Amino acid sequence: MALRALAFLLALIFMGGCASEKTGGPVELTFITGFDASGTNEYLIKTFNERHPGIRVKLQVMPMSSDTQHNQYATYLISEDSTIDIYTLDVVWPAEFGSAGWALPLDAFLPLREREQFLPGPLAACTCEGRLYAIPWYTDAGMLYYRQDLLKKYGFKPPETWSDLLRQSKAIQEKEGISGVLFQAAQYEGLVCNFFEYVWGNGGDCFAGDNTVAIDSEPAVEALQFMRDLIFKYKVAPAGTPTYREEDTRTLFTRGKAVFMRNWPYVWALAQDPTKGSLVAGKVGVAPLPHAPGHKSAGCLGGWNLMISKFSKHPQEAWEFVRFVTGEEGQRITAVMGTHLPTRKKLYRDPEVLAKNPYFAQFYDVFIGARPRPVTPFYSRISDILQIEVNRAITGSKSPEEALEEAAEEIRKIAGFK
Amino acid sequence: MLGAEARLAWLLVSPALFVIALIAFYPVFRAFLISLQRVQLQFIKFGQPFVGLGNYAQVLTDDRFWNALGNTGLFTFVTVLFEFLLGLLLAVLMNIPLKGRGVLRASVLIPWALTTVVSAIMWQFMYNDQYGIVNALLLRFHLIAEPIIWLGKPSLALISAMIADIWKTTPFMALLLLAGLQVIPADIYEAARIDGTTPLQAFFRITLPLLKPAILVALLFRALDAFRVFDLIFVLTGGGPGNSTETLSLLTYIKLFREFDFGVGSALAVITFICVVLISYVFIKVLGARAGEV
Repeated sequence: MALRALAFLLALIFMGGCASEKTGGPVELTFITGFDASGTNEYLIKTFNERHPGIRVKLQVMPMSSDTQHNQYATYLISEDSTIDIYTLDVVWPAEFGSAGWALPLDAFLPLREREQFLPGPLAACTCEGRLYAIPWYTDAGMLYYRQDLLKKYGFKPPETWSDLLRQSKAIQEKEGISGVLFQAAQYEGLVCNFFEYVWGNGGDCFAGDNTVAIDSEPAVEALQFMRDLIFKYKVAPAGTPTYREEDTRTLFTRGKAVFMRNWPYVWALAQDPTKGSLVAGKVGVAPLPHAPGHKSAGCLGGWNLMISKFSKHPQEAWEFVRFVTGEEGQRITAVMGTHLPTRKKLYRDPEVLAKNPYFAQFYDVFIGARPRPVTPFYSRISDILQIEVNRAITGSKSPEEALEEAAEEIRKIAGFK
Repeated sequence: MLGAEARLAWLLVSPALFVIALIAFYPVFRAFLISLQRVQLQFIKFGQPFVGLGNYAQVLTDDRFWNALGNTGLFTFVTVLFEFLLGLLLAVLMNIPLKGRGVLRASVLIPWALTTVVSAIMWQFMYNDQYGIVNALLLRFHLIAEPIIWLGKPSLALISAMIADIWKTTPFMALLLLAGLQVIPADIYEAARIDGTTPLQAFFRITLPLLKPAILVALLFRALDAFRVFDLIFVLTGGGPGNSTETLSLLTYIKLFREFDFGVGSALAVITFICVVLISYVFIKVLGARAGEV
C-alpha cells in the first residue's frame, strides 16, 4: 500500500517535471522576494500577467529575514539555478552579486535618460565598477524624528547642524526631564548606518576615490568622537545607547521619552497611531539628519532592488517584468498598497501616492540626499569590522582614533583595498 | 563458532554503522577538506585552491579568534559550574518527599522549556537600562543610584549572558541529577542512619559518590552544549559590545554565512570540533576514572 502510494507520488513528480518542459504557451518566469503581508506582490504580478499574455510570472515567497534570503539566493546562484529569473536584492548586495557573475548587467536596458528619473542614491547602490546590476524598486533611509510640540514650546526650528541638535537637546532635556536624542549603537548592522551618517555629515567617507581606505581620516574620527560624546560627555543620549537597536529607540520615542530620534521611515506610521501605543501621535515631525557646519546631510540608504539572474533562460521577458515593477505604475502600486517609498523622484509629487501617504512629500528632502553604504563585493566583511571597532569606541574600550585605525588596517587586508 | 557469530554481529550493526558514518563522519571529513582550501563562496567559479594549513594559520594568528576562544572557555566554565551547584541543590530539594513536589518539579522546568531565542529576547528586555525590570528593582531597593547598562559594558555583558544561561539550563542539570538521585536505594540511607551518620555525612559519603555517573553525564552534556553556545549570544548581544561576548560558534557563523568564507569558517568549525573532543576526553578520563573507583 505504502509502496503504491510512493510510486504514485513519483509518477506525479515526473509528470509535473515533464509538463513544465513543454514548448509553446506563455514563457514562465519566477520572481523571488521576501514576504509582504499587504498583497502588493500578488497584485503587481496579476496586473503584469493580464497585460502580457505571452508571459506568466509566478511568485516565490521567502521569509522576511534578509540574512536568510541572502543565504538562499546565494545557494541558488552558486549552483547556476535557472528556475528563478528575478531576485529582490537588499541595498548592500548588488555589488556582491554583480561581481560574482550572478547578475545580468542592465546598462543596455535602462538608457541614461531614464536613469535620471531615479533618486541618485539607490541607483548608485546598484552600480559597481561602472555597471548597473539591479534596478531600485523601493527605498528607505535614516532620518531625524522630532517632537514638533516641544520644539514649538521652546521656540526652536528643526536642527540643521550638530550644534543645533546638541543645544536644543540640552535645553529641552533639562526642562522636560526626558532624553535629548536617540540613535542605535549596538554591535549590529544598524550601527554601521548610524556611523556613516555622522561620517558623511562631517565630510568623510569609507574610501577616498580609488579603493583607498579613508575611514581613519580626521572627519571620520571627529564624527565617531561626537557620537560618543552625545552619550558620555554631553549626556543627551541615554547611557544605554550602545545596546539600542531600532525598536528600543522607537519604543522610547513613541512613549514620549525623547525629543529627537534617528530612525527609518517605518516609525512614522507607528508614531501617528495611538492604537499602537503611541503617546506622541500628531506631535511628530521629520527632517533630514543634522550635519557638521559646512557639510551636507546624508541619510543611510536601505531599500530593495530587482536583479535578473545571469542564468535566466528568458532575460528579455524578465526585463519586461522588472521594467513594469520599477516603472512609474509599478512603483505607484507599491507605494499605495505596500506603503513603500518610491525610487522615482516624480512619485513624491504624485497625487495618488500622496493621497494615501501625505507624509511622503516631506521625505523627499531626506531621500534626495541619502547615500548607500560602501558599494563593494566585500561589504559584509567591512560591515563586520566596523560594527566591532565602532562599538568599541562607543563603549570606551578604545579611543575613536585607535578604533578607526584598527578598522582601516583590517579593511586594507581585504583584497583590492589600500 | 564465535567467529561466525561475530561476523553476523558485524553484519547486523553494519547498517547502523553506515548511517553513523554518513551523517557523523562524512560532514566532519568534508569540513576538514574544505578547511584546507581557499573557498570564497561568491567566487567559487574562479576555483578553490589548496592552501594547506593556511586557513588555520590565519585563524590562530587572529586576536579575534583568541578573544572568542577565551569568551567561550570562560562562559563554559562559569555557567557549567553554577548550573551544577544550583542544579544539585534543586535536585536534592525535589527529591525530598514534600507536599506539592509535582508542582515544584514542573515549574522548575519552565525556563528550560522556553525556546532560547525567546528567553534571550526576554532577558534583553529585563536588562534594558530604561524599562528593564532588573534595573527597576535595584533602583527601588536603593542598591544602585543609576541604571546599570548590563549589555553595553564590555566588563558586564558576558556575565549578563552567563546569568541568562544559568537561569535557563539549571533545570536541565537538576533533572539529570534528580534521575541519578532516584536510583540510589533508600535502604542505604536507612542503614547509615542506624549507624548514626548525620544528614551532611550521608550527603558527602553516600549521595555524592553514588551520584557520580549521573554527574559525569550531566557535566559532559552541559559543557559540550555551553561550549557551542550560539543562539543566546546571537540574540542577546550579537557578540557586542566591542566583541566582548563573541563566542566560537558566533564567529564561525559570521565567517561562514555572512562573509561566505567557507575555508576559514570550516577551519574554525574543525577547531571547535577538536576542542569538543578534548573536553569529552578529559571528562571521561578524569571523572570517569574516579566514578569507577567507587
